[in-house]
Amino acid sequence: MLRMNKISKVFSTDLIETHALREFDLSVAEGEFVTVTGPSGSGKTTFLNIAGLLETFNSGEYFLDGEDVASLNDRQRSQLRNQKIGFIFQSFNLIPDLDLFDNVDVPLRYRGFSSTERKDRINYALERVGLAARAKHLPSQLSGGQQQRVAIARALAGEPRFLLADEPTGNLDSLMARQVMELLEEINSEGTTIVMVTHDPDLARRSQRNIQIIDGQVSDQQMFAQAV
Amino acid sequence: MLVYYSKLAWRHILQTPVLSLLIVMAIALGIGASMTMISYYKAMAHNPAEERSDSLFAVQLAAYGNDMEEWGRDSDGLPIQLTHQDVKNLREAELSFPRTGMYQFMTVVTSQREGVAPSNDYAGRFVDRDFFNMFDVKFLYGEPWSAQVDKEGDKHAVISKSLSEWIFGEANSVGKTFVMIDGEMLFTVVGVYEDFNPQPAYYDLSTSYFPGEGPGVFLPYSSVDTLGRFPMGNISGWFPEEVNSHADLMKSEYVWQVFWVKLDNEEQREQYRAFLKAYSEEQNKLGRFQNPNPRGDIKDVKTWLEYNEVINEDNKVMVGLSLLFLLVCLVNAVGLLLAKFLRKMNEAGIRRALGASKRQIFSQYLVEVGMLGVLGGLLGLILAAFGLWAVRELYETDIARLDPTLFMGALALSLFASLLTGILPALRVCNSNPSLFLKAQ
Repeated sequence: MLRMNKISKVFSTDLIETHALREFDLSVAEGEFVTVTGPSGSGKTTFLNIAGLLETFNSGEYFLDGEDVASLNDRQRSQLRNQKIGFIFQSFNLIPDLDLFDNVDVPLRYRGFSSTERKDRINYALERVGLAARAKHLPSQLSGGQQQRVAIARALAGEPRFLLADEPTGNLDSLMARQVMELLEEINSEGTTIVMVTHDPDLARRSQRNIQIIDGQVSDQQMFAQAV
Repeated sequence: MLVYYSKLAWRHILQTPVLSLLIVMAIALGIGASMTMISYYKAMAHNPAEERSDSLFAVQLAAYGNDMEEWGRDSDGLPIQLTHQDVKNLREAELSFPRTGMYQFMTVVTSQREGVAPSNDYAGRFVDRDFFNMFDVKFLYGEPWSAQVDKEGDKHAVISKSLSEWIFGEANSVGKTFVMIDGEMLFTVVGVYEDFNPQPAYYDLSTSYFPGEGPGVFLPYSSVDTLGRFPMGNISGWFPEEVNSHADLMKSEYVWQVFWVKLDNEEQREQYRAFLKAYSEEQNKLGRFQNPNPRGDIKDVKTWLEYNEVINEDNKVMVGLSLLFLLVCLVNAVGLLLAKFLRKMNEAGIRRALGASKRQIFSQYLVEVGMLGVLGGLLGLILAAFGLWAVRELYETDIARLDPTLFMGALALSLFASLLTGILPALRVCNSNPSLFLKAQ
């Protein structure tokens, strides 16, 4: 599903160059649930942004579902991101002045679905996270856990094959975190590949594989019992 | 997607009412000021003769002594008016081209209706019968006086529809008589025309460029001698003469009338220029003109309007300044748009992460700018309408109104200007790195 070979990413200013990723190698198979851990500043988020086609890289190769992303222009990358990748963020990143229905609608708009299909997909996704009844509520009217579920519904509505989650439980209490994690596991069990950045070792252990990033490189990999 | 973008844009405009209003106001002020000046300029630059412009010619003669080289509008030494003697001679010349002499006078007209003021002042004009065809006066009833009257004079009148209604209470008054000039002369109406007031009044620029009302009555030029009306307009001369009566004025070397001739092709024009040259030389020999360079000239309508500086340099400067003001307003709008859009960077980042391309984000924000531009344009048109009303009040003229072309032009200009203005802020938003905003809420 995802294959990175010797990816390097350097952030440059006039005074300093920061190597966020150094010859970073990683492969994720279709249907895997991989967690990424590492200390702050180790390059986890940079890896996730590159994996999600939100950032470019300086050197190396990155194949997503067999496609060499380095050769794609912005429009093609956006299209690929829209069709194949779902994002879940720590801070939910819902659009505050759109209601839940319209928030889930955002990625579908760029997909070019018909109005009926969008409506069906939104209702299904909201039902799936248990928030169909609150479709006309604004994000500010929901708890943190509910907002994260809306974000998951938004990520799922387009039926992506690849879900990227950046500390999705970081802003939630333990009960809500567990609910969100269970939802992600359920999604993964249906065949969606998930890569999740987390600081929580307990959550990491619930995945099939944990990779640890230190100084922009994969320093360790650990397989867990759930592995297929 | 346009409908979706429009929906998002309208929502965002309502969410930031103060900034949106300031942007709309900035665009509206610029559009209002520039459209006011452009409308005014366009009205003044208008050539009302249109397709007849190339065949109608104002006639000038170097009718003065040798110490008046700087006389005339364009330092070509030619006065814009002619003496009565010259107009009379030009009219009687053995040439078959349509022509007309003319001058304006004021007269008191008596109404025959009850319940209205018994008499009123009207602008009248002595012309030849060719005038009506040459200057496209549209007759509603009747026709110009006869060629016979054009030669011998008679108390025939062609009056405007509004004057006819004022005198008789009806538009068609052909064959009826009315009292005019000192309350004692009886004139017969031979024609009624649709009110005639081309702007600028190119047929006689020695009076007002933009009269509020056109002439109410036309009388045969051939009656000038017998009716003895003093002109209402400029009278100039190159040496002082004692003028105590209308007869004195007609015999004098003062210039106070204008003369037009219709020449359809270059051959006719050459013929007429040669005629004017010969005429000037002849008058020089007779001692009337004392000019080392006896000559005349003909100028078509476009040249005549430019020569008389109907559009003066000040107006061009004002148009330039108003466009500069528009630019200043747009620069302000850029700043306001940046402030407005920077608040939306996070949302743009989310949309990018969810699959929007840079172009889609750019389009979304440009649609919002376009909506603000159209709103600014509409408000600007209201300001322009107010500005033009002020111009009309100030100059007591009927020119400079917003027409459909200007209406659409203003909207197009505001849309174009706002889109131009919005390019930088929209580029800033769409080119921002989405990952910067997604992590940092």
